[in-house]
Amino acid sequence: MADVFLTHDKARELLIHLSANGVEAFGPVEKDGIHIIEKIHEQSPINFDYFITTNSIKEALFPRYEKILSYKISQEGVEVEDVPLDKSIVIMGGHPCDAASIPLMEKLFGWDYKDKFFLKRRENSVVITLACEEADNDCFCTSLGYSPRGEVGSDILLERVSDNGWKVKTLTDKGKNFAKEYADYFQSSLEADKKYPKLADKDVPVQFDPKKVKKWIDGHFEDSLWEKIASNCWSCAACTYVCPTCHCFDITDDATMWSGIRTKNWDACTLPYFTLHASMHNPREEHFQRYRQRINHKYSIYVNLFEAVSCTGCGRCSRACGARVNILEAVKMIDNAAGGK
Amino acid sequence: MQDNWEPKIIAFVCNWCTYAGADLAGTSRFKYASNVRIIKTPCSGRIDPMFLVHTLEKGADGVMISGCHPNDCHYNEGNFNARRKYMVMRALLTQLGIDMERITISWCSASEGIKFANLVNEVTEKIKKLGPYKDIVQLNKSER
Amino acid sequence: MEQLIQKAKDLLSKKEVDAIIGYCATGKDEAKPALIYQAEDAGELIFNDRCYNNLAVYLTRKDVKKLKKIGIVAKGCDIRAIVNLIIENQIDREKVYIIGMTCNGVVKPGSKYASLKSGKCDVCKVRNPHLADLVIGDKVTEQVPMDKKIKHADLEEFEKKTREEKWQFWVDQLSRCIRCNACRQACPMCYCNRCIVDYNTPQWIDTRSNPKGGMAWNLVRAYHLSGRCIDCSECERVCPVNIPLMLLNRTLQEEVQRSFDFEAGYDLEACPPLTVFKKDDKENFIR
Ligand code: SF4
Ligand code: SF4
Ligand code: SF4
Ligand code: SF4
Ligand code: SF4
Repeated sequence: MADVFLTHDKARELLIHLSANGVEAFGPVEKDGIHIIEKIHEQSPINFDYFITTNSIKEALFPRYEKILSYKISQEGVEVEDVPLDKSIVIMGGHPCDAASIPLMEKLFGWDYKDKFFLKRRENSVVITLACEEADNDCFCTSLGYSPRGEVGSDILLERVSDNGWKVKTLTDKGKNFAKEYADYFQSSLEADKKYPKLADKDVPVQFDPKKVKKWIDGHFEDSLWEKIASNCWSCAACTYVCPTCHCFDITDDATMWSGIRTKNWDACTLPYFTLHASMHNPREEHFQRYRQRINHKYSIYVNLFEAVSCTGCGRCSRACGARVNILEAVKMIDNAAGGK
Repeated sequence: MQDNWEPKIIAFVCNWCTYAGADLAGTSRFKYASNVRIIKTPCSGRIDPMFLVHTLEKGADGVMISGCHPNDCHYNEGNFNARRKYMVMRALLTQLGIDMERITISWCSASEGIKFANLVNEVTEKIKKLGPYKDIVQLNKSER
Repeated sequence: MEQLIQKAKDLLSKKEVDAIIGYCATGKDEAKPALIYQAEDAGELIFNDRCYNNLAVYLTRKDVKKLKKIGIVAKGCDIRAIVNLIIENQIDREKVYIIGMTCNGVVKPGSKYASLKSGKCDVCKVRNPHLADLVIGDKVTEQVPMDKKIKHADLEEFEKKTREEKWQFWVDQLSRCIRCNACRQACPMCYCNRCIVDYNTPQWIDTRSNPKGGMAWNLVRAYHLSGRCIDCSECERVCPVNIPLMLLNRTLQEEVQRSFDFEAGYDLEACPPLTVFKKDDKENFIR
């Protein structure tokens, strides 16, 4: 097949066109100096010149709050109204570390209980990923077997060839159909700039061995290293909420006597109240126990359940942490403690 | 705005002065607008600014807060503490762009039935002119 | 730095303190908070203009509260927080050993190190620590005098907006709030065992991170800090979605100063302004 290209301007037009036509389009917008992925509207300040977005694309498939049903109570009984989940979704603007999170989350949401909200959205979505042109000290995708130009989880991969355009690589049938349907927005040639691609796998060095890390974690639940790793953690949820693979939620009702809305909200194991029992006993009383849970779940428990580490190495948690807890440093400390080869 | 729209106004009043004042207004048959729903609290010091926010969230078009005059508080100093709280709360709400025209704070003693009735009428008139307060209620509507 | 490390070593080895809260280096030429328990680890301590974290926040963390005596490396702004914690009866003055650092200002707005919109250092009155057991560093000569009334330029600019513009501004900003609670956890004055946002009977604040929840949460957080916020700007710095929280905090700081003539964190003998009153407090807004 002949090469296909897409320019920033056309991509912007495409997203706005989609959003105006009943598609839930998600894209990167620039707001007050940061880039975030959010639902696109006509006026959205879409911008593609960033290193990495603050939040991840999970917002599109697993929103921070979502209505799961509403109900009315009357003399006839309870009337429950489901939420329609038929809208198609287009997600543009994540990096390979975002896209890689989708197959990971799918394992969980498609496990013993099938979470129709995530699965349905996943089915209805086209994921368009931007290959990375930049990496910083917090990035470590390669240590987990991913790549800055990786294809896992994406339907279309966009590789930069110039300051204002990408070469389009369709990876799945979904991606091919999408490119065909919106062929008007794509073009068959674009002047390439020699400075791209700027980043290759070797520029993001492999820094630890997840197998070794898991082995150490399994044998060292009670170890003073955990206290050292998380000594400065103040137990917020910034790291979990920006993480593409953190998936905990809480269900609450917003109700009056006769009607209500049931909502699924993000929740986080790093928050002190996450494990509080009704008796007021809290099995994870201290900050480091909660941070240990975060690492343990990602690097060991998830591997036991699904044979995959629930982390894609995007480094968002480290960048978002105001206390400067750094997951790469943490995992490297564990890797060191595990010693040998 | 529909022609037959009537504002909903919630009044938080203290048990000892304003509630008695409102009672007096009733028993002396002063006419006042029926738009006001009165919620009795032990003291104006009990009226947490969160009451106010919650009331507007739930769709009130106006809020009144009223308690004993300074030096008349049943608990001696409740209204003095309240006064400081409302002071900072007002600054905050103003900065957030919440419509302060809709919030009325007053002192009204047990013998001031007529003051209370007049105030209610005046506030109702004002809110009628302003129309329904949609700003905060609309925030609740947005579904992702 | 030499002096800091030496003092920390002394304190720890003589068991005068159980731990020292200080800063140490990260891999990225930044500074991060660190809790040092052993004298031999004291060599890790550093102090430079990237030490922007307010370490006073750790004084009320569960594990730290259990310690008998604690040393803390503190800039003037951190000491303001410590003063506030003392007058609010959260810590004993005897329990903390304050190593005060003179400070020429830490991270500035627009710096690559932190996303801050408002500068705090250019209005700082305590570059030379006002309460400490030991002061390290050369005396800073340029400092805003204590009796100067602070006016924030960004606030003055903001107040020119109409009511509708202000409302729209905050709806836009606060809808972005993901309710991660970082602003609360980073704040040295947000030490409540159970925060109002964690209550569900009654549920004061919407659990959803929708615009209504974002508005209610940020409103109540700012309100709870009135007369207590010590202008350290940590809440704004740690907000992952860059919400200009200092605009709200400073509104209340200025109001408290105007109405009650009080600034938090300077005076160990003061009473928190919202726990006391004067019979002749202003009441021009009351009918
Ligand atoms: S690691 Fe950082 S972001 Fe995560 S809970 Fe701890 S302090 Fe918050
Ligand atoms: S744990 Fe951190 S590095 Fe790993 S996927 Fe989540 S945000 Fe990215
Ligand atoms: S509200 Fe913000 S600026 Fe004020 S004390 Fe807390 S963290 Fe510091
Ligand atoms: S927001 Fe209020 S209730 Fe919550 S921790 Fe801060 S001061 Fe306490
Ligand atoms: S830090 Fe920012 S995003 Fe997080 S809860 Fe506070 S205001 Fe919201």
